[in-house]
Amino acid sequence: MKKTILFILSITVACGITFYIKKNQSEKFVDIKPQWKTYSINKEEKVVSYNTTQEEFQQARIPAPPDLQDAKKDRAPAAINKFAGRLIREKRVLTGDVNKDLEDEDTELQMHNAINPEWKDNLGKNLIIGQDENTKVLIVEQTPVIEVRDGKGRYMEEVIITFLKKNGNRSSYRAMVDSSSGQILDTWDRTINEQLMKKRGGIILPSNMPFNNDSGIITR
Amino acid sequence: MGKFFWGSKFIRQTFTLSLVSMILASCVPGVGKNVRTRVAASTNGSSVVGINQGRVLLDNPIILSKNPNLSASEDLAKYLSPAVLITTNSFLEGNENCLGPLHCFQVSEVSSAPSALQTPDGKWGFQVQTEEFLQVNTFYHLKKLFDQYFENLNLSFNMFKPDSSAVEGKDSALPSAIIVGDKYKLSNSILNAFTNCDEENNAYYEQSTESLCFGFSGTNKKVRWAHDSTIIYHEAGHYFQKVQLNMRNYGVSDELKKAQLGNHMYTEAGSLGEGLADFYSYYVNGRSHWGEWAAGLVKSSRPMSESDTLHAPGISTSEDQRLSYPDYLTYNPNAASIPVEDIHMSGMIISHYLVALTQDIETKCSMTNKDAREFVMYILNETFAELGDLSSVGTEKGSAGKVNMSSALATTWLYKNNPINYRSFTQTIAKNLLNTIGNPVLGRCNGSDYNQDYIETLLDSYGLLLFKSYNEHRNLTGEPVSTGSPIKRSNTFTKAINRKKSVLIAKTNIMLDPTSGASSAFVIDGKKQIADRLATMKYEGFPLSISPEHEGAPYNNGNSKVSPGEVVAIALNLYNNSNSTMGGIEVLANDWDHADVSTGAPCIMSSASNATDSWPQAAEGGVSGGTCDAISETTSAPVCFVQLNENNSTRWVSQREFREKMALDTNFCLTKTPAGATTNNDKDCFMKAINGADKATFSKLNPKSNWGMTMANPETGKAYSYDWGNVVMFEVSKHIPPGTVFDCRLRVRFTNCDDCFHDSDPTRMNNDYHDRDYNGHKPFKLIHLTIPVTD
Ligand SMILES: [Zn+2]
Repeated sequence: MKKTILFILSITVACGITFYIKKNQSEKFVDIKPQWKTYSINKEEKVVSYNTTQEEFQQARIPAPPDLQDAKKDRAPAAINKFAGRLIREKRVLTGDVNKDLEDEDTELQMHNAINPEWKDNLGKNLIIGQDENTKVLIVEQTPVIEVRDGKGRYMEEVIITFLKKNGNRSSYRAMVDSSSGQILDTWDRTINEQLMKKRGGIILPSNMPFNNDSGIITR
Repeated sequence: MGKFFWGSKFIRQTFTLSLVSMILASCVPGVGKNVRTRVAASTNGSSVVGINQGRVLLDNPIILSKNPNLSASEDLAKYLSPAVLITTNSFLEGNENCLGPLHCFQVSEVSSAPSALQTPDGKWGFQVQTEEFLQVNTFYHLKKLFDQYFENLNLSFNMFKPDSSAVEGKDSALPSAIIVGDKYKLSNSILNAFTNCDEENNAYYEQSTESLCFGFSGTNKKVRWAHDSTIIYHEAGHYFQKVQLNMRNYGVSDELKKAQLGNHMYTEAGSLGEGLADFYSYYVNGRSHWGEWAAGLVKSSRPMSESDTLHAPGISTSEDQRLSYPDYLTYNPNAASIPVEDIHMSGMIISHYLVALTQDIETKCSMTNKDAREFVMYILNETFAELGDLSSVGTEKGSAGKVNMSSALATTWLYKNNPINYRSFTQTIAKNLLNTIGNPVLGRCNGSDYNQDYIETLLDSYGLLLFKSYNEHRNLTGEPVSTGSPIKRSNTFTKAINRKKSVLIAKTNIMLDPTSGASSAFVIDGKKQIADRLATMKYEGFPLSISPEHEGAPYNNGNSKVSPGEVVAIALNLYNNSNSTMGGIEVLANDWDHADVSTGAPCIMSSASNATDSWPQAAEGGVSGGTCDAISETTSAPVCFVQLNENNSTRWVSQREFREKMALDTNFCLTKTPAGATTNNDKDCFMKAINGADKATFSKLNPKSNWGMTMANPETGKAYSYDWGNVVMFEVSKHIPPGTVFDCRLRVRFTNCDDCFHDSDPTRMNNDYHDRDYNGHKPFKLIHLTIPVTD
């Protein structure tokens, strides 16, 4: 009898622990749903957006995401948990002045901004405005972030932005974007081109140097 | 241990590797479904190679043929190697030292390929003109570099790095935290190499998706960049620089952002990046010339030693004829008489220095050239890991705030206030040499040391002995070595006697062109030109923030004056009034600490506070004392103040005060205040430097010359026009009453400046300024632009 009680007790404890760990793990999961989206301006000069097509991936030389790589599916590399060891809150990576307490969502954290579900479209529109006709902007989510500075948090989104021009030119970089406005806060990982025989002197001046200046600017 | 050889260990490892390869080589890999296969052909086909083997171009075709004039249409099959081991994998996937991915890199023809190239029959023999051959050739050279680099990392941690417990006070930037078992935590993704890119005279490294792309030379698409191993090493060199620069950001801190050298425009960081990428070619093949085939065919190959015959007369390896800073910043060996502002060209100064350093260590320490190359690569690992640390800790024994100001401000410091330049880079290299091979206790230079004089003499022959201290402790200089200790952290100083060629120039010598009738600045305000530039900035990835009403520069009138509502670019006509060449001139228009925090009034930068402009007088609105007396890294004001006329007097006031006097609603400011915000975003309500265009750089200024004179083609007497990296840009509110005058207090410095880096304050004794000081005025020459806004 004693043994049976002990057995039931240990099973209960074991299950409890497992459940606890599982619950903890699921809370610490970073919610990331990367979806490449293309933004461009149509003939009516309106910004249009849609899921990036396979042809665009090819033109932009983006290795297509796994669901478009059927052939590779059976030998895709083991998933890399790039968030291993990171502090997580609200299924977002915490950066900045962070500590373990902030993982507990009962720990109060005042926020500078709120998440606007339209942030990506705002970003896409902002980037496509002013571009030549037929230019495309491709955007994909990378990491959802809460950055903490001076005790206050800000929701941000790490993204990859790739531009594709009609003549085949492309440019790509990563950016940290405000989750409310879609404004770019910082960029990095810009493409490094060799481009031999590059044309120089991109600024056209009305007269050549030495300058004739009647700008009115005076200096001290 | 006399010479610091790792011979026996290396031989053991190589033997083990070979054995494993031989065993693996006996297994024929299976061929999967859904992959592209192609029957290999005769000269380099299955019949002439064994399992896992292929034939490759071991160097570029110019070197293999020993013919510098090899025709672009030459049959390269003549220069193939004997059969060599490619990989025992069935796909072109290589190196397993990266934590996370199963392999570090893979090669395919194009990005849309379903996988890395797969062998059809367990062999890698393909005809030299096929796409498959290019992939195999690229794989072979990438693998060579990856294997060598990771072997070097192993040596860096286990052989080169000083044991900090054994050597008092010596510190390393290499983070042990990146080592996990036999793997390194250096990147989250596999590097993809694509060998068939439709890119004329181009190859690129796309950091955002971790891919390399190799194009072709000239208009002849047959000359493929993937046929030239030196190009492959250079591109992969950019990848490894990212690895080196971010070693502490991947391994130690929680940074998501990554550090990068430079941007699309001319910067010294970018220049160092290109020179170092060339050095990667030397690192692998020990040959001091890059790109003879792919770049040479369009007259763009680059030497890395003064002994190279491509160089102009007057350049040699003798001490006084080195490719020295800053004179050779605009030198192009392929067209020596025409100055050019290009990071690939200026980068030759650092590649030449690194090759000369390798050879000097080889000679003075009786090392093999290969061992010396490995040691120099270790020094680069240390140097970049420290300089790129975005968490601001810098080294294993460092603490927050040691480098790059602070984790919150690191990118602002790294790209604007105090970026990596020739001075900070070579100073860190010198420090790392001094701490390791320069330390007599360690006896790593053939039982002795590569001493301070050697370090300084070589740097000086390159004009690069631009620092007075080795700055070992950076921002922690002067602090106790440990809590409560009376001993302060102090730096080693360079010997003035070793500074023979390097010239340090006082900052007063940089000024606006004083020539009578010369312009001081030029305004670019053409509508199309500015609109196109704004679009390009978004395209190239500058973090542009511009108010929506200025998209497309609708109010620009192209009259070369600053008018309400415009977006303008301003080029300063800077002049070097000294008798020596200046290098790395930077103009900053970003916010800085030069206004009283509570009133926003301009601080008087008087001689009492060790500076320079004594502007504005108290009667004209200048204030002193209070927050003006100390520099804080977190408080900053826009560069431009406004002239306010009231009660028969004029004062320089903040844009906020001007707005309040005008009673203009904050909704009309250039930066909008979000609803519910407790403070107004009106500090730059009327005139705002554009983020991403708030910094201008010039490669160099000749003595008694402006940039136009410096860059003039001697045949035409004219320079090509400015590039966008040479200007700063401002957004101008349409609500400014015409006639309003702004004073924008810009900060200017240059790399071989004496008083832009050395703090001559008696308490600081020519140690380097603290990072915090770069948010202030002391390290800079202040230059004012007084801008009338006219219709
Ligand atoms: Zn490069």
